[in-house]
Amino acid sequence: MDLSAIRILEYAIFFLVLYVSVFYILLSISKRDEILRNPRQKKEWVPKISFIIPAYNEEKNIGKCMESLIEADYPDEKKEIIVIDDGSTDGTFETAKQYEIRPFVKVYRKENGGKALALNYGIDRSHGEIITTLDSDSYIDKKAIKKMLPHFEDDSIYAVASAVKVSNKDNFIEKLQEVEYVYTIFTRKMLVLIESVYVTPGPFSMFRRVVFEKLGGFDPDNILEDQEIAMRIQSNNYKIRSSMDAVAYTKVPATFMGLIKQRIRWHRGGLRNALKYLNMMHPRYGDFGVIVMPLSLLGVAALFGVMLISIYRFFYSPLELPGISISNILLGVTPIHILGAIILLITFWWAFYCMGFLREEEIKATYIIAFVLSYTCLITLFWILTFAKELTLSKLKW
Amino acid sequence: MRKISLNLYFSAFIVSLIIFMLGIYAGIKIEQKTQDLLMQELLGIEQRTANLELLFTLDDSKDFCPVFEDELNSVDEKTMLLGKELEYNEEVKKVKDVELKRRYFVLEAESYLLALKIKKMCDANYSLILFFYKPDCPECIDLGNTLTKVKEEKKDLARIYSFDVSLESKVVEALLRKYGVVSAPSLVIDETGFSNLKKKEEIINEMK
Repeated sequence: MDLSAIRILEYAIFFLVLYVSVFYILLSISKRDEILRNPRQKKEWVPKISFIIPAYNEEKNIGKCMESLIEADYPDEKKEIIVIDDGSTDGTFETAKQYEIRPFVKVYRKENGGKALALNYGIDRSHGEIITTLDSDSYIDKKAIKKMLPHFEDDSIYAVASAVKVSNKDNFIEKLQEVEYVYTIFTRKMLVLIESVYVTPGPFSMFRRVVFEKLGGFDPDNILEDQEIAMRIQSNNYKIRSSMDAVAYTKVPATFMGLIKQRIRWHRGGLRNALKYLNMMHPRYGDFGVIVMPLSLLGVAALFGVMLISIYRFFYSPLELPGISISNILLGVTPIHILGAIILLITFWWAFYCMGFLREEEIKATYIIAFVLSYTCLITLFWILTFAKELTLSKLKW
Repeated sequence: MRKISLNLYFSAFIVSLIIFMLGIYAGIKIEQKTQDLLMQELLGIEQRTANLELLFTLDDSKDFCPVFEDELNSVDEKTMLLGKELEYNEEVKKVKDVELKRRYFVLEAESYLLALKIKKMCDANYSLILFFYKPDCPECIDLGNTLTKVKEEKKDLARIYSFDVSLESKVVEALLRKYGVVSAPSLVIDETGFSNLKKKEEIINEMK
């Protein structure tokens, strides 16, 4: 057996990857009932809900977003829809204004200052007991509100994340993201089981008003404000829940370049948030501090480890496999190949297993396979570009 | 105080350790299986070399020269391939099977001596090259690569036999004594020793 330093590093990385997979598999098996359980509220609770929609140049999408809220299954007198036009240069304000004929809709206009400030502006002018944030290019399912609310089962639950799905699924890039989003709905549910949800997605999330009163508003300097607020809630030991059936649809990048741009922003923002809340890597924060955060950071390190090893192996490949003979096919096989094959099989099985929990999704098996295969490469690419951007110190932009 | 699911951490560790060990075990089994197959390959070549030797002993008249040469070509080709597989095993997979390697050198020496006899009797025009090397000496690797190029160019006209001198093999020691070779890398081209050849052209020049 080959036991050079680089091989040992490979074995260590493989063990780490295997451990993470096994960890989540065991978690999902041991808490299967909890994953499938529908939350129940003890008493009838119909709080006033403020929907905060920041919008910047979204004249095409804002209408659909507002209509979905107006038509949503919830008493009108308990709704409050607040649109904040963040200094758009198109007809966003005028389009939104048309809906103001309804008494529970308010449209404000302010000079451009970024999404977080627009959200805070809206929250300051709202009256609801529950604050719901939405992206203007997203819209919700008619039943989504009534499915979200019961998740606020006890007073320590401060936020609920929704099941975000893809609204535009025409081309290949979009279809891959469709699989990814469904996969994320499930993995976020897994994180609920160990109290480690670290993002309340911008397209549709609900918060108790006290979140903003106690912890302050969204951080205007953050490019990933929907993650930052979730981390802040976690760091104050409040709970976050996530729904698998309260659906919001959002628009995803339709081109490869668009996707790269979005992911670089996510990763750069994620990196900053991880650094900002690095002190949470502590047993004080339970499973989040002991396992979720360290493993996520180690995962990124492992990604670069694999990359460096690949580069090393590419430039230093001592001998080619000699010509065809009986033992040749077996000659190329080493224990590390067997481990790699095992991990790949587990990953495929896991992807299909996750999809099985969201049966209503009609996702073709070929797309699930394409998702697993392409995302392993794509994530590496996203992180390389993220670090390249960080190193060239280019300016952060939302 | 927030919950720490120690049980889960621990069971995940045990389960992944078991899977990890099983994977490594399967990998090692396959490596052993490969060694078995290489040994079988070696046995097959040994058998053919023995047959050729027998034929040569029974009738060493010139009439059989075409048969000898044909058989020699085919055996040599297989021997070289096996040599490359052993080298790959050692360099890339770090699997070192000293016993297999020693037997391989005996086989090589055997076919070298046979080729030498056949060459003399049949007035064959191929050249016989012995290559003595040590693993992890850069000059040896360079010379080995050069020899590969010589083989590519001259094909059957160059019969190359490589020997690792760092392995304590009686047959290699005998060959070293026979041609008075003292350092590695060294070449013996048609029974004349050289320790200073580097370029492809220089080697081809010495071949008859």
